[in-house]
Amino acid sequence: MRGLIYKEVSVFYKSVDKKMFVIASGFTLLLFYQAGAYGGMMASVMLAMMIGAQNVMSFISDDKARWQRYQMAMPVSSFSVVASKYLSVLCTLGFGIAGSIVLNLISSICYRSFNGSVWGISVFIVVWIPLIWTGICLPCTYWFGVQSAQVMGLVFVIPLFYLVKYFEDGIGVSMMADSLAPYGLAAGAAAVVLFAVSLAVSVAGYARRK
Amino acid sequence: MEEYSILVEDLSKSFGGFTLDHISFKVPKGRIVGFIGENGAGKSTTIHLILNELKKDSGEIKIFGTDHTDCSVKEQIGVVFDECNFHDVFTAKNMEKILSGVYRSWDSSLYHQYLKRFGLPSDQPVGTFSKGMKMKLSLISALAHKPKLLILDEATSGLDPVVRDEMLDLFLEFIQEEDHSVFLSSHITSDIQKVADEVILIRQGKIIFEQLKDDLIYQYGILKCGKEKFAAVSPQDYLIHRSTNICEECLVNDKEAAKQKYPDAVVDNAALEDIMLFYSKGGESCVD
Repeated sequence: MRGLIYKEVSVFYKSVDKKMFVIASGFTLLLFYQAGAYGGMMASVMLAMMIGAQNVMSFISDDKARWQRYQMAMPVSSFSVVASKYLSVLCTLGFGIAGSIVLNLISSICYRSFNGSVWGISVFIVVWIPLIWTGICLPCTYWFGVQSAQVMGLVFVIPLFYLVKYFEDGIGVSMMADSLAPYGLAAGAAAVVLFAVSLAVSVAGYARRK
Repeated sequence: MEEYSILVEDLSKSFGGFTLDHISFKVPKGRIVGFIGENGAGKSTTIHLILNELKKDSGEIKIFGTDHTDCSVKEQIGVVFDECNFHDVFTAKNMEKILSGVYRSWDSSLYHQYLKRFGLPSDQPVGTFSKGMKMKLSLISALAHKPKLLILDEATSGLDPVVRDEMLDLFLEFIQEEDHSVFLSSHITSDIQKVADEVILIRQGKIIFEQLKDDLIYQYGILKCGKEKFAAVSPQDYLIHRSTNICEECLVNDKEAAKQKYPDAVVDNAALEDIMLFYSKGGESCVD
């Protein structure tokens, strides 16, 4: 399984689209300008979505190389194959956490404001969103193919977009951290349960033979 | 001790209008077995079933005496498909790290020896490799965990003769160990003719024959005669007959006997390709 985890993490980093990275950097600057001290938090949401999407994108890379066919000839169980994918998702969370800290640090320094709950919710977001995203998309991939996961990814983006818009148009982005904090524990527990159930569903999907 | 690397008995699989129809064959240890047939004959389906990538409808598949669904048996198998399945972004070094973490018997020094021998760069992405280089890397990767059985599904297709020759030489080297075997599926019959010890012909999901290659090459022949002389040829003396614009042609399984019995007819040697064409393109089959 060690080799498969290395493969998944390598594909994740190596298949990052450089153009996408440039576009995301541009958006990050825009968020820092518009959201002020909360720019780091907003950029963390974007980073989290990118990590979630990138985990699904690595499947497209697998599909292109027809890796799954090769992988099926290896002496690894269905559980090991799928678990390696899920473990690699957990490995990429470190990258998200580090990114979120850097983004919040930049906005805190730029706007000379430090808000612990904003930092906390930012880190929570970069862990929570990829977990939920992959928890939903990976079983879709193993059962219905890569395209279904891409569609599910879009379905996931829309509620997130409206959540941010809800705060922007209503009580303001500044209240986002404080408003969401009470739901953190429940949301975290839901993510862990979803991730575990998702793993079981994915193993069943992968183990199927035509 | 188990004498067969692969034992397939009464294997069936139906899907999408295609049926693999109760096929049985074996791959003995120490042999290269060529698996030939036209496109869509069932070669890849059979290999996918052997590797447990497809679910069989019925029958039995054993690898080294163990049921093929036992995951651990794959430790002893090296597989090369018709294309390189490595991601374009990976280098040969990356592949080493991946595969050494998958196969317990991975031999890094052997892998690097092969890379050097075939002049493959270890730091360049696979995406920059030619098709030949990619296939060589696939084969090297399949050999570096020191398998006892190589399964190749059209692995030499689309390669130039030089690369094909290098790969075939490697198969011959591999088979020097007496407990090693190769199951080589291809529609390039010249490759099979060059290296195989036994040949299995599959057509429309059925095994047509499973024979020693030398028996096919040295005993089979093509009897050619005019239409008027063909009337005198006994249906018992040939396997398949076909008519051409010029003459009548019969595939015979004992060319020396045919030469003696029909001295007025021409009896040519039959290459593996000729034999496959007789069976694949059809004609009138005369012997059960």
